[in-house]
Amino acid sequence: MKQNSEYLTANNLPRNFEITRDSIFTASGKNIRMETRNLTVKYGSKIGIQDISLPIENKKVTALIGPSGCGKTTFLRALNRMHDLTRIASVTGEVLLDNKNIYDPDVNPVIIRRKIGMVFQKPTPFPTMSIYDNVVAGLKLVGIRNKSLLNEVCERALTQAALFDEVKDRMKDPGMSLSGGQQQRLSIARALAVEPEVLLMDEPTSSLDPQATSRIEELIHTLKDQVTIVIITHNMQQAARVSDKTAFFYVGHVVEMGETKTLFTNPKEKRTEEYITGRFG
Amino acid sequence: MATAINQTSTSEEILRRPPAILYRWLGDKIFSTVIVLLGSCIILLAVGMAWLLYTEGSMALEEFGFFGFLKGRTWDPAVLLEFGTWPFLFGTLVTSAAALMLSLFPAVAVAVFSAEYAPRWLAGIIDNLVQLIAAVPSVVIGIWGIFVLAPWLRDTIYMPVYFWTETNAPGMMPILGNPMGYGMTTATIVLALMIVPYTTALTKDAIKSVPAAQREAARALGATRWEVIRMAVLPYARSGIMAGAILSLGRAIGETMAVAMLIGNKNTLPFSIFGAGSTMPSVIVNEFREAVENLHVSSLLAIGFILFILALIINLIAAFITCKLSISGGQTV
Repeated sequence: MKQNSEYLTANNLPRNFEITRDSIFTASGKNIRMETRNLTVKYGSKIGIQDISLPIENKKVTALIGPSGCGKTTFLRALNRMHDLTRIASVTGEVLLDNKNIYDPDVNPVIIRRKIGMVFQKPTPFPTMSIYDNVVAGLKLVGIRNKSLLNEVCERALTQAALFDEVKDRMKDPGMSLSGGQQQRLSIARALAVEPEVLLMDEPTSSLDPQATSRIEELIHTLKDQVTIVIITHNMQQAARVSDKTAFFYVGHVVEMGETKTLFTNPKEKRTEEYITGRFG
Repeated sequence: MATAINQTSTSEEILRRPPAILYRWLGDKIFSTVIVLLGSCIILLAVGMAWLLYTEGSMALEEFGFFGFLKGRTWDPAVLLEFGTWPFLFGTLVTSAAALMLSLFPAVAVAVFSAEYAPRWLAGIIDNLVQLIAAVPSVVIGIWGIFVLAPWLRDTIYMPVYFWTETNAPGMMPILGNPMGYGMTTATIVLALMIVPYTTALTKDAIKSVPAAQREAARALGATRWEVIRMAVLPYARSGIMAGAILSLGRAIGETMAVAMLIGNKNTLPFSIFGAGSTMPSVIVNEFREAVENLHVSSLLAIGFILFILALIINLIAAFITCKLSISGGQTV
């Protein structure tokens, strides 16, 4: 299977290598929150992802799976315009949030990132800030100074992130004093405090132990009633446990996308089957 | 398997060859001896210099007492042969601290602009220009100060302020001093200019070492460019910036030529804002040629010793700040 990944680059995919879609994922689907249309990201002349058209359903968890280096993170970062910060990255195609292309010139990326939160692979608390200040950092950016409101939101976000009970007596401690798993939940709380409409998670549990991982998975379960979540994971079981929809990425393309259950039990594409059964990747 | 056997047999062969081992052992010995010798040279040099300055200056320090010498306000090499270093210590501390305060904000601003805002080509130009300022010999900056900056400052700033004060607040005149162009303020401004490159370079290093993840975390919260800098970059880089500022203070304290050329060289207190003053390096460079009395020479060397201690203290403070404030291993100490 090694040879496959060697000759199969995004530029010379075989002709019959087409995207399979479930029937519910038509562009006219009524419950679509975000949608990408022919989204292509290039780093210089190197193609990161090519021509990806993918719907993201409202208040559902969409998992992105696939081997390393095949564009999952590139895709995720295109969803809240994080590529704007990378000099060599260029984005073409459309990313629609509520039918508005977020790459339109009249859209302010700062506003987009306030609506579409992001949690990174490694916990990123601001090292000079206390736990409390970390959580309300995003609110202070919007200019909220009202103490009681900040306290209220801080408690809500920490409770959502299942961290409140552990830190309620030491809100003024530095964020760095927490353990790795707690720091990651703090990062999640910080992202949730600004009440994002969509939450992007890039392998949020990859640096955590099993116990912290399961807490975060529980958290995703409880959150999906309120937020639309897109999560990257390398862990097939995790994708199967937490997600409603799964998209399989391979060399910059989406090979297959569908209901998680269907995709894992009865994949349409051979490559998907090979990947989820662990024969490559 | 075959290759593995081959490898072991060849490595055993090498191990069995005695001359090679002797050679390697000898090479190791020579190398470590040379390294240890060179390394200890630096330590010996530093300690030796301090010791020399102390012994040579001890005549003055014994004559007036260490603190007496430090606090003495009279510097009279001609008649009284009395030496006290307070005017120079005062001049050094005031000009250096003022220069640091004057330069800190512009220096950090240049570093932030070049690291965060400027396109790459412009950042390259800025960095090179800033380094150029550091590379200009201080005597060249001094002569520019004498013939260009000082007259300009006198005509555009000092004189108008002086005349305004004369009519509106005559009580302030002694503090303001004589606006001849050469004096404490001119020296401070030139000092500030001269230490900007150091603060800028160290600040930029500190900014560059902020992990991309920190910036992205702030961006992902919807921070604007300036908010990313305020929230993620500057707090993370603060220890580097502080240490850079303190090390620049060290440069300012030791800066000699340009200051000696511009400060006016007045050996007695009180100094005034525009008027002439003196610093420890400037008095050494001005008087070492004419020092014939042993006590005079010894006093100049004692000033050198005090400067040495001052530099040491500043370096220790910088190291302490770096240690205390730096963010390492996920822990804020």
